Amino acid sequence: MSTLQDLKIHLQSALGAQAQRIWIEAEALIVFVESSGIRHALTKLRDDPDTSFDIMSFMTAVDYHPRQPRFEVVYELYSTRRKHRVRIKCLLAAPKNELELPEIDTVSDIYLAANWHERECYDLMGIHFRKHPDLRRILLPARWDGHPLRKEYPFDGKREWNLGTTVIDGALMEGDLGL
Amino acid sequence: MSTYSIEEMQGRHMVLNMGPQHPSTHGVLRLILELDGEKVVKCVPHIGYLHTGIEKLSEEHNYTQNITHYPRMDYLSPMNSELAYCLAVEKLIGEEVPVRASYIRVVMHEVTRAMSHLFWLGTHAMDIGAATVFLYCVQEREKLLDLYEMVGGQRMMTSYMRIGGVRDDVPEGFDAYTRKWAQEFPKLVDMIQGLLTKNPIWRNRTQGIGYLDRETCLSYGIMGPLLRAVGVNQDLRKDLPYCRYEEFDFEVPVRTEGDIFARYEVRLVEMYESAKLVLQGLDKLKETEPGTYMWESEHYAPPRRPEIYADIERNIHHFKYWTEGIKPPKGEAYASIESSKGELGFYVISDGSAKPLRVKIRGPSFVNLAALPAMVEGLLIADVAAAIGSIDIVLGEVDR
Repeated sequence: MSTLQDLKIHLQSALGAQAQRIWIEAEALIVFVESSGIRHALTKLRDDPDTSFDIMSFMTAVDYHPRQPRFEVVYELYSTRRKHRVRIKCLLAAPKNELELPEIDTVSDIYLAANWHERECYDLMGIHFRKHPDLRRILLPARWDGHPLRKEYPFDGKREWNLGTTVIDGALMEGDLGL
Repeated sequence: MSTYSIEEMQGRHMVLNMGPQHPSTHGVLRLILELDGEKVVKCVPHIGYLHTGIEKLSEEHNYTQNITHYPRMDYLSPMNSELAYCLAVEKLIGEEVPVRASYIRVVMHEVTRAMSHLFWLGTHAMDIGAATVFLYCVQEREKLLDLYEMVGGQRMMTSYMRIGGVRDDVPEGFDAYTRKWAQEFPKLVDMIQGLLTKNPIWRNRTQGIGYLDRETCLSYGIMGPLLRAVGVNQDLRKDLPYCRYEEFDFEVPVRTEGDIFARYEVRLVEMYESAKLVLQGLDKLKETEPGTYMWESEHYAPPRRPEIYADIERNIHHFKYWTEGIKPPKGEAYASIESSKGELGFYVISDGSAKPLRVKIRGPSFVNLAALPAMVEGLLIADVAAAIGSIDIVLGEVDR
């Protein structure tokens, strides 16, 4: 795969109908896939010897509030063998009930790197990863209220924080390590 | 307080809390270790004690202001983060920086790599018990901090890399000072090698310890010296060149052992290569036109100082640049560099306004730290400190 254009043509045939949209932007190849087929697509890209995306650089989520579907989950893959990159994206709608989190399958067994990234994504953006082995908050205390990277979350603390004594409870809960 | 007899503890595991305040965790990392005697059975890292919400902050400040946040993540190699962010925004805008700016960036990037590796080596050696090395390393790092002060006016948080180039041209005396340092630096690395490489204590503490195999490394997304220590020839400077690295001549060290000693060897060779690259960069810098360190752009670069006083249009432009900030076109870009610790990348999304819609930082420390349990489970507790040191983490970047 010498150029991005070649890779684009190859991915179009390899992913077939799974690739909903595929284009090149800012020296990067971007592919939209159906969120239900993300595990299948990533497994295929990793195992196909022509693409051999052996590394997941990072994965994250983006909040496009108030657009619908609101969230985009982004996976950036890199191949140490072929020296090329691809960015896989899935659209994710927010559930009608505000207390529910949008859901997508975990890929932490396909790429071990996704384990911590998905935890971060859950912590900061509030995306639920189905069948994740250890979906706990990673950066914030266990009993933090809300998901800070969402657009409706206040930036400068205009809303009252219901922390106070619960911080200690949270720390105690963290002491229960589930070992 | 309850007491346990030896009979009671037989066959039972003990849980030990290591950190967040512990000198060998290089910051505020907390590890929960389940121990069978002295052997680590399970290791659960807890991070987030230094979380500063930099990604959220980035959405509230404009593109130019954001540069100031990022050196504070990895404070041992500040210019790396600035560089990666600027490259991402430049990709978004779709313009290359002037040649001279690229070479200045390469010189500072390599200086930063040497600086970061020096501090890593010092603290890593001290963790294992070789305290002398630390003093030599920090003394040498001081020279590089002086160099930082020379170009950026500050010793650490310089904000020297700017969108479209660098803040100012290199000052007088920069060439002579940097050249002298780069010529003398290999001698210091030789001396440190002499203290450690053949030292039997150092070898016993590092060889065959903290082993990770190739497949695990790749699956964890590890890059940088850790990946090169398991036999993968990967270096973003060579593979996906940025800042005109394709014009430079350097070698990528690769080892196959995958233990702490292999990582040490890889980083040592990188220090020699950095000095070589700095010298090459300085030579190339001489061939370029002085003063071309920044874009000449109406929209994306500030006007030069003399122009502001000479022309009312430029004066307005200056005012608007610093108050409103720049507005890159709608879109997204990901740029990554081979930082001293691995792949450091910035994923920036623009909605056409002066503030980014989202900035995701792919920090190498965060990704590499995730592999720590795989590295230490089965080792002795004393080796945990050595393993943490060999990953070269900075908690500011892990927690962001």
